[in-house]
Amino acid sequence: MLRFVLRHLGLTLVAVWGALSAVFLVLHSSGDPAVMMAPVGADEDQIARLSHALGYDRPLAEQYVTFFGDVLRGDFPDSLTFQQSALHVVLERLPATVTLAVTALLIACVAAAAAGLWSGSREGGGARREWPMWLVFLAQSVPGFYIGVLLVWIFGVQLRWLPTSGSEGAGALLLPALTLACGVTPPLARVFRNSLRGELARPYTRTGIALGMSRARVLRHAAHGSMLPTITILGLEAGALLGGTVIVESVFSWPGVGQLVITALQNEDYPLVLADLTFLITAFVLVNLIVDLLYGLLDPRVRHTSARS
Amino acid sequence: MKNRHLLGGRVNGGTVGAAVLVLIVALTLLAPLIAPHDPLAQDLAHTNAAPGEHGYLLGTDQLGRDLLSRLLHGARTPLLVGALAVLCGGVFGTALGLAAGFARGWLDQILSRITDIQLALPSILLALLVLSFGGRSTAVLVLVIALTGWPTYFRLVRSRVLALRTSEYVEASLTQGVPAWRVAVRDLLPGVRGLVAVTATLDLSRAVLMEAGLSYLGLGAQAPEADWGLMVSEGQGQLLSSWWIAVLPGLCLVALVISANLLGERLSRRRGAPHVPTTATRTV
Repeated sequence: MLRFVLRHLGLTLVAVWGALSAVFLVLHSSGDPAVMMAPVGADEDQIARLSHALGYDRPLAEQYVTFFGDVLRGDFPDSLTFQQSALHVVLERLPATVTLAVTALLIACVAAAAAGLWSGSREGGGARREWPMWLVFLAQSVPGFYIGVLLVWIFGVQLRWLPTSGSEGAGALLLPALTLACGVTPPLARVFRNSLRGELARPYTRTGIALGMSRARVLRHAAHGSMLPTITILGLEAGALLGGTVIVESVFSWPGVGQLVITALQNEDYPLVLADLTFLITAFVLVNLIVDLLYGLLDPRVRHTSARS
Repeated sequence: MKNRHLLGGRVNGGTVGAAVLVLIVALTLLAPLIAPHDPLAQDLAHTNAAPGEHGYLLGTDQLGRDLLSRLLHGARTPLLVGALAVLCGGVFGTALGLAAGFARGWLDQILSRITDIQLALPSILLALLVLSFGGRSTAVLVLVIALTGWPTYFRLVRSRVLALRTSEYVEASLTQGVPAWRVAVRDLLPGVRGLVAVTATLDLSRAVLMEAGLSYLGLGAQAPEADWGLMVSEGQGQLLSSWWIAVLPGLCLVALVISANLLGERLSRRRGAPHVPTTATRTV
């Protein structure tokens, strides 16, 4: 188990290093980053002073090393629009994003379980069995922002059931969470359906039926057996979830980390963009690490085979 | 029952997808000839006209621009950017996959690690990063979408080449002293052609979705250009009074993406190719 944890810690460090190097590379790709970090309308003298203050005039190799230290300490240039530590602004927005992502994940799990159980456990074929999967295909083909706009139009404008934007109350959470869930559900439902069908075709199922087990009980065993592949996909979906928040939060003006990066871009507040993206990327890699470790905890086969390979 | 007959017979999802795709491309190419109005011409006397009003078949937007004409022109950027991005990403990913699978060793190790890291990052974050600090232009947009697409080609081609490499005809060429690059191009490339074609079809829907998503966020096509993603964003503020401005361009986008997905899934099933994960199509 220790070797498994160490291996994954190592891989995560490599991923963080790679991701931060990419940030550094892109940041310096257009020359002196101070040009972007300075307020709009700053003259050359001001830019030069800022460049010196932020250390952008030192050799690239030296900056590359100090960059990692700065990121680890959360030391980013101050936000131009908020006039305070950019990381502080980002962290303030974090709870809203976490609330949205967790709610969406819960909705997605329930929806995927329902769709998977319906089409995975039914005999025969055709529309009666497959219609939830058609919905899944549709949800996958509709861009997230358009699902959001359609939901606003139907539930906010036509039916007037729910608010169309903002973050006041549980009603405001429902539409963004539903939109985000539409992006996460399809792969989850597909994998669950397929592995459920696989489990139901295995000998232990037939034994259960022959022994006179109730249909519900057989299904419960089969569903238990299909949990592992489904959880793997759930881990991979963390990316879609995090990437989706950027779009969904923008559609609904949900005051989270994702919307912050887009508004910062519109306001040309590049220090804030830098802090926000670096935070999101690092957070994402760490979430992946946790998912991998949990997966190893759940399935002993994973930690043994991955240690050997 | 009619439905089942349709699906079971000659007409399948793939055919429908291909037909709609061809139709959209044809309408886009013919747009300058068949569009009733200039997509940028404003008619400020008739803004937010409902479909059918004042002789505008699908109505007008908040600046009085003819929606039908804008819809006809609106696929140009997504299709062009999408196709170019698929081409760049496909060529790059295939070439590197071929090299890595064939040469193995350190080259394979390094490239595989890079794709691991990149596939672990949500592509929208990568795109935002490049578009924020690397400049914003159509060329950068194409490169960004290609950049987030190449690992899929790389992985599939690499694993196929690893399998083909041990086959007898490749061994035969190598023992005869045929240079490696020639073996790669003459013997291995034909073996991955079908796989790459299937991947590219599914990648097109991902690329179009990404262009639309970035345009919606204001990072792709810029006003006043007619672009489906941008049009949805412009129409969102008008939902209360004029739903058609946002809803219709979105519908067109959905039709385009669904048809590309249907065609891609059909092709991959017919070729018996390993299932290309379509999860990538929904990052935005």
